[in-house]
Amino acid sequence: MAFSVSKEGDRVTIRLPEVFGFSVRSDFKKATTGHSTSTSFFLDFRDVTRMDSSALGMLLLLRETSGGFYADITIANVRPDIRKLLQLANFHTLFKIQ
Amino acid sequence: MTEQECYMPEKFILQHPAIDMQHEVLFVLYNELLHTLQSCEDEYDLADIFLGLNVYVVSHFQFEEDAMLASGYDEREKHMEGHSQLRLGVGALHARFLAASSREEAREVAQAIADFLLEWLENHIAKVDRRLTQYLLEQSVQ
Ligand SMILES: [Fe+2]
Repeated sequence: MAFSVSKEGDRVTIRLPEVFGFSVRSDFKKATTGHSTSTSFFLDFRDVTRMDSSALGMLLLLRETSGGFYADITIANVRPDIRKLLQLANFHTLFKIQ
Repeated sequence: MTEQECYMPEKFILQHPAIDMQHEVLFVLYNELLHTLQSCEDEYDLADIFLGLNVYVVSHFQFEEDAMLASGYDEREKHMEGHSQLRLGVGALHARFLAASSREEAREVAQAIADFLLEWLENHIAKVDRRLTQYLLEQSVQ
């Protein structure tokens, strides 16, 4: 499954590809910038089987570009090994991970 | 993990999965800073990168400080002084960045932050964090 984006009202849903890394940086930035501050982001990780540190950087920058502490970002459908990487990076303290 | 551009020089790998991962993310943000300073395509706002760096530095330091406390590490105070130095240094430069009166000045301060950050990361990871991770690994603290 490739990178896909849909928007419904103030909610942007991004379905991330199997490999979430530097190769989608440009698509990810395009999909996540230029929205109003009330926008919420739902990041669907169901297809993600590999992720690198540049993806973690993208998530942090999304958090800042969409309101920092007040950003409304949900990371969902995460496979156990990817969840482990998010935890190693201490991201469970910064993001809602379902 | 994927095959990727190398963000963190291999000499900084300390064999502690969480601390290595967090250092790597700091290098990714450092690279985003350089990317923006070099005006590549698709750059983020410098202001957002600084906020991201601040947030993540705090989160990472908290992680290490919790691990030091939990494991009874006796160099904790000294280690935390090193963390304060970075927080203060970046905080002062960040304030200068916010007060910059021109785009040119803002970019100069951003470059100074990038240089300061790289130097600090290199010294701190190579020496101070290396001692800590060796201790944590001996204590089996992941
Ligand atoms: Fe440290």
